Amino acid sequence: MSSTKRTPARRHPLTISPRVARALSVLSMGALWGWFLLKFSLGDAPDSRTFLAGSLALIGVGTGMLLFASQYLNQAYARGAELDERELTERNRAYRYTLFYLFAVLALSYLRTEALASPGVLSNFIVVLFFTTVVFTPAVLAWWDRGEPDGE
Amino acid sequence: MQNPMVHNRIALFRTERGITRKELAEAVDVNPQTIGFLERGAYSPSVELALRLAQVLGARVDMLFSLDPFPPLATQLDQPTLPDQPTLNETP
Repeated sequence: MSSTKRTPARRHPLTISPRVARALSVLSMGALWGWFLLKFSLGDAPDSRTFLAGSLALIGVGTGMLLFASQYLNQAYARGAELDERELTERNRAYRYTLFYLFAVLALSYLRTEALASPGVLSNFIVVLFFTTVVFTPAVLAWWDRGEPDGE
Repeated sequence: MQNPMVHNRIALFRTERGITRKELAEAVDVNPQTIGFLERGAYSPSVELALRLAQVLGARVDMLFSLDPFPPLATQLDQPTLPDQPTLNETP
């Protein structure tokens, strides 16, 4: 561990409670995967399911961006010098979980490669995988956050 | 191998010194939340952080941290004085 003085983390303009962050993470991941799966059942003609799929995509990306812009972004993607040893340990653990999630999704997709054969589905799959992976690390950190008060 | 649980008396010493978590966190250069994690025993500090905490709290490291649970203060105060130790009533 370095003995140099830690650069204090910048105060985030969007500070949300751990409970809100957890709700956002579930909403984001659920809506994005829901959108991806719902796209399989869409026909050529637009109907209510088309509207639902569009709404899910918007909700998924919107809530994901909100979570991504919160204070958990700092812990997930800040320079190491801005974090203390506990935060670094937690982040490393969160990265391992993210890597495991990525491998798990890729392994599952390998089992159903025929479903990803069309360029449209593959493109949707990449979009979902990208957004959910970006959001996954802050989401894990939010789930571990116990809302410890700063002072006392 | 799982890290052994490290017990500590940070909360006790901090309260006795009359400093807040935030002040202690600033003194040892960590996030205030980390002090909470340490006091709850949810995180075991590195040697460097343990030494810094001991320095700031003015205590020896072995007074602050232990691999075995610390006995309650009441138990320690209840212990009888050893015979060879001078008492307040004794005149030298």
